[in-house]
Amino acid sequence: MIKLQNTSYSYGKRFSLENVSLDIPKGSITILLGPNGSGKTTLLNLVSGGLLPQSGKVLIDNQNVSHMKSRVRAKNIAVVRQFVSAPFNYSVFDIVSMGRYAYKRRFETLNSDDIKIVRLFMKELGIDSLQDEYVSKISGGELQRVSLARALSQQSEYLLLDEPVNHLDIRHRYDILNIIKNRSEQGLTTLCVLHDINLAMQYADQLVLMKEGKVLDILTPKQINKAKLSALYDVTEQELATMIFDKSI
Amino acid sequence: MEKDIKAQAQKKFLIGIIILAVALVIMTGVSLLTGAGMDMKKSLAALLDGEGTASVILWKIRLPRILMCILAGAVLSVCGAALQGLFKNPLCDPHILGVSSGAGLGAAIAIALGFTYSFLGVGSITLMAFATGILSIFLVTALAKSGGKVSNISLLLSGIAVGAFMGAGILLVMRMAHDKAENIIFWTMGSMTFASYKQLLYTAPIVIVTMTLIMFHSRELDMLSQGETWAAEGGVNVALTRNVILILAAIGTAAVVAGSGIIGFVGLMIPHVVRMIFGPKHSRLLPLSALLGAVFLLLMDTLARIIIAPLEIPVGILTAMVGAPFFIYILKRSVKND
Repeated sequence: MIKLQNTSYSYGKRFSLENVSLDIPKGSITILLGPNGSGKTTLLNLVSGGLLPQSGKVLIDNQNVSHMKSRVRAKNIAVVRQFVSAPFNYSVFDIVSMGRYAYKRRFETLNSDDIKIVRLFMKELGIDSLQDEYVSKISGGELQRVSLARALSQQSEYLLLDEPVNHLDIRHRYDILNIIKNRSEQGLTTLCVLHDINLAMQYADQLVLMKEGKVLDILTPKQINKAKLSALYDVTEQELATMIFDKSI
Repeated sequence: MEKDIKAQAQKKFLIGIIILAVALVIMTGVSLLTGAGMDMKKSLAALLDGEGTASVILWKIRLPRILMCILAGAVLSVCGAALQGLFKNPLCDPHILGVSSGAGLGAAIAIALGFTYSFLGVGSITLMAFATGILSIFLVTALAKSGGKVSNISLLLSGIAVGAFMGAGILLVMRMAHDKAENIIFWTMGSMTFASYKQLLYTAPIVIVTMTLIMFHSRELDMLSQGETWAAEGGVNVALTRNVILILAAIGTAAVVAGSGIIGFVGLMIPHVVRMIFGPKHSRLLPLSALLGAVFLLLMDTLARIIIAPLEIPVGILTAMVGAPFFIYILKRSVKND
């Protein structure tokens, strides 16, 4: 379980996250919803250990994330972000197998088990035929799947995703989220920042509504209604209606 | 299928190592037998005969110089490759990041003030070069950092700024200590003229240890070349690795600068050429860069000795003349990719 206890973080004077307490139960998909600047990514970065809370703490299975060693942390938490290709041309296989780094000691090379795991996730994400392609030569949708395959190869119990389907077309959005749903049914705990309300409602077990660095509400998709969403995003219900496909809301 | 590809890459790597090693042996032979004042025939005779002045030139002057070239070319290329990976920036090298000039300033001060202390057999010029080299690489990264991140452009700019500042420092030292100015001038241009066995005695272990330790970090450098966040989230201790690589790169560079002055662009060019042929993985990139760097600098130094013989061109001038256009080429390419 991921537990945030009275966690705060600020950039300069303005609070980016103010006194947030939140439980993320094991095996669930939790999606963070909220307008730009509401602190979603800050929260994600505090859980990943990329930022250290200025007050309060973040616990993962009762261990303080800030105190975890780099490799231990990577075995517990994997992160998927918008993939930005580096100037050096690694192959898809090279990139995905970097997910095994935390399991290797200094002079250890990938063994057949590692390669099996890497191949398994490349297959699951449908990129096994691309394994020898350079990452600079593949499409955005493929890159995002490479990034997810690398994160899954870390075989962590927790997966954090920051806008994993941005810039992807509808088919690829569903593909990525179906894979995540599938893994979560097998016990993976997922925390995800998502801008697409429709997808969030379809895939989330719990929705965390955030605004101005605070958690407003923690709801199941069924508990969501137009009033809550229009208040969250400062839009009228008519404006909202054009964005939401599920008319029962 | 995949085994094949892995085996193929490994085979390509081994062939690369063998070809470059053979090239290095040949280049060493050529370099030993060519030079001012003694043609190849005479050199060959001296080599076989083993006595007289000719033999002294061969073994006491040319050979230490060749060994110094090999060490300098290798370590500069390895440091360049490591810095490029560390900063995810193909335009980095010890020279552009201001380390060479930084180490140069320390060495110039030591020459001007005539320091004579030593520590564990390492002379004062080298020690001063280490200190200021390490100082300048940390200064450059600190200046380039904004909001906890180091951007490529600010890294280059602060490297140029610190390099210029240190360069001005060297000029100031030369002005103030004119009696030693000529010594310092020759040496800022990068020259192998002063190579000796005495100097190799401490340069060689430092260079070999530095390169080996950098090579131990191949996997971390692979991860870091995808970005610091990516590396950290994959399990790399980024702060520790960065500091270790920066210190090693500064020490490796300073050891060369103390011995043979400022030789630019080797660390920039060589890793690029290797990457183009053998790919970006550091476990292959670093050893191949070491070998190619050694061959390249030895070739440049041999040319430096014969182009306007009996006069000699400082090798740093030649590497800059080849390197600067290459830098522009890479810059254009990376701008296009952005």
